[in-house]
Amino acid sequence: MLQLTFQSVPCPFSSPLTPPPLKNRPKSKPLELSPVSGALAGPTDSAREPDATENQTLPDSHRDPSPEFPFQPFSGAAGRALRRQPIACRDYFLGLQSDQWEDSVLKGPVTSQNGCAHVLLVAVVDLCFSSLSPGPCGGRLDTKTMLGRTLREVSTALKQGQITPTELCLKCLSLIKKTKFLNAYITVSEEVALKQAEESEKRYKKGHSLGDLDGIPVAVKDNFSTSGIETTCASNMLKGYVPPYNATVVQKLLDQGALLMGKTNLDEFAMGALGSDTGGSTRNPAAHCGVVGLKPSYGLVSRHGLIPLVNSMDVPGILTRCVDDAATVLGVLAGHDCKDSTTVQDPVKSFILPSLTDVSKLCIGIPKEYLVPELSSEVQSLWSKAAKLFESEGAKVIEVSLPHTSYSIVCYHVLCTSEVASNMARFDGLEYGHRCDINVSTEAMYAATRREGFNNVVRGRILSGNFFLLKENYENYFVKAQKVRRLITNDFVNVFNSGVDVLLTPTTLSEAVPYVEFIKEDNRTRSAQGDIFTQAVNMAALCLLEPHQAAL
Amino acid sequence: MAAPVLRWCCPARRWILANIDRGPRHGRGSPTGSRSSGKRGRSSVAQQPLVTAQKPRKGEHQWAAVVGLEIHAQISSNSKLFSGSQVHFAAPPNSLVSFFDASLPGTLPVLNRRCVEAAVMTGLALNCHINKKSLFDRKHYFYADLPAGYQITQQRLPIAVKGSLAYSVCVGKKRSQVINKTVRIKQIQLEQDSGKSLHDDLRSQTLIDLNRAGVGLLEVVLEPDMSCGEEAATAVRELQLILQALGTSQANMAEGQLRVDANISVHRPGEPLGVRTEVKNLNSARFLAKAIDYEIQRQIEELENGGEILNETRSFDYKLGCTVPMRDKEGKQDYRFIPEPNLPPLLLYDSASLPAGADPQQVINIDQLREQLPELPSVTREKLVQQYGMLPEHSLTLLNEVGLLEFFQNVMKETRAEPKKVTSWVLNTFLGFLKQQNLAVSESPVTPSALAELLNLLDQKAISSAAAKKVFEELWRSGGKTPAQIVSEKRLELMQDQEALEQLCQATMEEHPQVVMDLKKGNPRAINKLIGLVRKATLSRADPTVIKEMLEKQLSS
Repeated sequence: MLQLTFQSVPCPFSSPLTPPPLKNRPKSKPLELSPVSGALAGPTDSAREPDATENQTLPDSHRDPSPEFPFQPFSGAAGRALRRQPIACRDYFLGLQSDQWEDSVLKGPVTSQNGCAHVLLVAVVDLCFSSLSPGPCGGRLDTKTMLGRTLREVSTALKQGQITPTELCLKCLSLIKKTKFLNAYITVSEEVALKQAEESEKRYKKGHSLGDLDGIPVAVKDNFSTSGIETTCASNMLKGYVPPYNATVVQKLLDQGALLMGKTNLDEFAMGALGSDTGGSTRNPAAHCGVVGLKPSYGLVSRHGLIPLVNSMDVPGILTRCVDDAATVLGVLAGHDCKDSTTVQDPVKSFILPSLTDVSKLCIGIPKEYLVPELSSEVQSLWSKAAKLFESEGAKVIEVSLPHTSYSIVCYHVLCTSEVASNMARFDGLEYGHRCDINVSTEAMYAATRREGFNNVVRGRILSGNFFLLKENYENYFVKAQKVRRLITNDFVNVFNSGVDVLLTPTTLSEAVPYVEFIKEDNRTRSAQGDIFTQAVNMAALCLLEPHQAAL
Repeated sequence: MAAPVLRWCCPARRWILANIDRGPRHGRGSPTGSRSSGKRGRSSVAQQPLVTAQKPRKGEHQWAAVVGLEIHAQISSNSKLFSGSQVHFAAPPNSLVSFFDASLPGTLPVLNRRCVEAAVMTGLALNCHINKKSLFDRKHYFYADLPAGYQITQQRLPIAVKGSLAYSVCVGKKRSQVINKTVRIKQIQLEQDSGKSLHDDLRSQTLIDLNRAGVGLLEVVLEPDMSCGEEAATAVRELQLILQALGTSQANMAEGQLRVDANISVHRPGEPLGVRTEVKNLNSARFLAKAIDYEIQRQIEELENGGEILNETRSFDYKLGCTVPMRDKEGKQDYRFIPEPNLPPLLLYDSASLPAGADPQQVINIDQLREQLPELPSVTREKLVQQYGMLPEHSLTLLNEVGLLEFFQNVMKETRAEPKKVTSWVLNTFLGFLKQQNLAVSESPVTPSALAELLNLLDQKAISSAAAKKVFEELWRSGGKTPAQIVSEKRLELMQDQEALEQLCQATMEEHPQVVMDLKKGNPRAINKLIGLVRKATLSRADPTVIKEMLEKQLSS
C-alpha cells in the first residue's frame, strides 16, 4: 500500500556502440496483408538483414531538456540514488515479511478479476491461491509448498534438484485451472510451458542452467507481444491476432529459461487502473495484493513489443513476491534495446542487493500533498508507521512538497487520451485484427471495424484524444498539459536535489475493495482515484517500488 | 511576348512577380514597387513570356502568378527510414515489409543513420541552416496505404531550414540568354513514404502494396518565389541534379523518386496574394510546367469572369492537358499532429559541439559531412565555362541531359580537337541525332571513342567537315566500324596528293571555259562554281579553301 520513489537511472554521456537493430528479428514469418475488400496476400519477408552500417540509433538524444520531450532520464545525482536504492528496499521489507498475505488476497478480488501486471513471477500466481502459501520463510521445499516461495528460493531448489521444472510447471498449470473462475488468464500456453519445462529440466540435469530464472514459471500480461501466442489486449480488435515476434522483455525472460505460463487479463488495452504501468498499474495491483510491484524508470526496460497505451509513460512493470526477486528480474530485463530508441544506452549494472541494514544515511521524503482527505485511516496509519520505522532505524525523515501534484491526473487525462487516439489509429482492420463485414467503402469499413472492435472506454478516449489534438485545441490542451508535465517533473527533481534519497508515499487511497464496490464507479473515476498517488511518477519518468504491505 | 519581371521585396516576405501582359505589346517595364531590398536579393532583369494570353483584350489587365513547390525526394538508402526492410524499386508486392512497416502493435521506429546524413548533405548543398536539434511528429489521417494511421514527419522542428536554390533559365529568341534566379527553401524535413494503393475498379477492390511504406523521404519546401511553369520545372531540374550529384536520391521522376506538388495563385500586383490551389502528384518536369501554366491561366480566366478561386486540391490530367479538382476529402483535413513519443529528439553536432570521446559511429558531425560534399552542378558548369571557354547555355545543356556531360568528357579525353569543336559536335550533331530518334545518351550507337577518333580525323584535316558528317551518319547506322574504316571504305579522306588535285583543277577549267571567261570578265562569284565542280570531281574529298587557292593560282598564271 505504500510506495518508495527513487530518482531515475543515471544516463552518463559516454555511450557504447549500438548494434544494428532488427538483426535478431524472427526469420521469414509470413505476414498476411490483405486488400481493403477481397483478399490478396503477398508474401512478406521481414527477415531481410538490414544494412548494418545504416540503421543505428542516434545517441545522446535522450537528454533533451525541452518541455515538449520531458521524459528523459536524469543524470548526475540519479546515479547516487540508484546505488542507494537497494539499501532501502531490501532490508526493511525482506526482513519484515509477515503473514498478512492471506488477508490482502481475500480483500483483493479486483486484482483477480482484472489480472495484474506485466511480468508475473510464480509468486504472483500464488496470489490467487493464498491457502497454498505457507509464507516465505522456513520449511523444506517440495512440490506442495513451492508455489508460495520466492523466486530465489525456488531457483535454489531447482538447482539442488529438490524439484524439477516440469513438476513446478504442472503445479502452476493445475493452479491456473483451479482458479479459472477468477478469469486471470486470457490465454494459458500449456503446451509451450511444458515443452520449455522439459528443456529446462534437461539443462539442469546437464548442469547447464541458464541462470536464476531457468525453470521459473512466469506470466505476462496480454499486451506483450508473444511470438506464436495470441495477444489480444483483451480487445475484440485484436481477437485472433498472433504476433510474429516476441517483445524484448519476453525474449529476455525466455532466454533465461523462464517458462511462459500464459497471458494474463487486463481491461481493454490496459486502460483501467490495473495493468501495465502507465499510470500506476503495476503498483496498484501490487498494493492491493500484497506483493512487490516495481515500475522501473522510463527508458530502463525496453517497450519493444509492448502494445502501447501511452508511449511516453508506458513501462513494463514487475510483480514479484519480494524485493530481491524484483531486483533479479529487473537485472534480466533492464538495458538498452536497439529496437527501442527511448531506452538508455549506458550499460546497466547488476541489481543484486547488498545485505546492508544501515539506513542512517538515508533521507526519506514525505510529500505533504499526498495527505489527502480521501486517504483511508488504515493506509494513513500504515504510512506513519512505516515512516517511524525508518526513523527509529536512524533514517532522516522529512516533509517535502510536490506542489503540482494535484494537476497530475487531469494533465494525465489529456496526454494519455491524445496518445491513445494516435496509437489506436493503426487498428483499422486492414493488416491484422478484427475486420467488419461491411465493404461498401473503405471509410465505412474503418468506421464499423473500429466501432465493433473497441469498447466504450477505448472509444471515449480516442474521441477525447482527437478532440485535444485538433488544431484549434492543441495549444489549450495538449501543449498546456505538456507544460504541466514538465512542472511535475521539476517537482521531483527539486525534491531529490534537496538531498532527499527516497520518497515514501501511499500507493492507493485505501485497502482493496470488494468487487461489488469496485464496479460501482465508472472507469474514468476509478482511474482517477486509483492513480492519484501513482500517476505523477509516470509523468516524471521516475522509478517506483511498491513493497508489499506485509512489510508494514 | 516578353513581359518584364519584378522582384517584389517586403520585409516579411519576398516573392517574384511576373507581370503578365494581357494587352497588346507595350512594355510595362517599370517596377510597380520595390519597398525594400531583400538581403539576398539578386536582380533578374528579363523574363520569358510566362503566361500567354489567349485572347488579348483591351485595357490593363495585369496579373502576377505566384508558384511554390513541395518536393518529395525518396532517399537513396539500402533500408527504410525507421526499419531494416530493404528499399528497392519494382520488387514483388509486399516483399519488402517489416513488422514495423505493417504497423504491428508494439513495434517501434529506429532511425536510419544514412537517411539523416542524406538530409544533412542535401541541406548543406542547398545552403540551409541545419538544426542541431530536430523533432519527429505524427501526422494522422486514415488511408489504406498508411498502416499506422499516421505518418512520422517533422512538422514542428525540421532538420534543415532557410536555404536557397539557384537555377538558370534560358531566354531570348534563340534561348541563348541565361538568367540566374534563386528560390528560397523554407525547410527540408525527414518523413516516411506511404505504401501504394492499386485500385481495381473492375472488381471494386483496392490492393495494397507496402513495399514503399516507410521509405525515407526528404520533403523540400520551396517558397513561392517562382512565377511560371518553366521556372518551376527548371528549379526542380536543378534540385534533381543536386540530389543526384550528392547521391542522396536517385530523383528519377518516372520511378516516383521525385514527386512534386505545386501551390499556385494569381493576384494583381500591389494587392495581397490570391487564394491558392494545390496541384498534386506531378511526376514529370514537362507535366509540371504544363500543369502550372494551365492552372495560372485558369485562375486568371476564372477571376476575370467574376468567379472565385477555391482553396482546393487539384490533379493534372495529362491526357487532357488540364487540371481537375480532386475528389473532396470531406472538407478540411485536421492532421492532429502529436510529438512522436517513440523517437527522442534528433541531435546533430559540429566539430565544435562534438562531445569529447563520442563514438563517431554514434554521432553525426555536420562539418564532416560538409567536407565530404561532392562537386555540385553549378560548380561543374562554371568549370566547363572556364576550362573550355564554353557558353553558359551550353554548360546548362550538357548537365541537363542525363549522361551527356560524361559523354562529352570522355570524348575530350581521347581527342586533340578543340573544345569548342567538341562541344558543337556533342550538342548539335550528337544530341540532334539522339533527340530525333528519342534515345537516351546511354542508348547511343556511337561511343565517345568513335566520336573522338572522328574528330581527330577532322582535326588532322584527313577528312572534310562534310565528310565527317557522312562518317558520323555511317557510325550511327552501322555500329562496330571505326571512323577510319568508314573513311577508307567510302573513300572519304581528303586528297592529300597536291599534284593530282592540281591536275583536276586544270582539267575542270579546261572543261568549263565559259565559267573561266565569266570569272575573267570580273564576276568573282564564278569561282564558286569552279570550286564546286572540282569538289564534285574529288567526291568531296578536297578542302574547298585549298581548291580555291589552286584555282586562283592557275588563273593568275
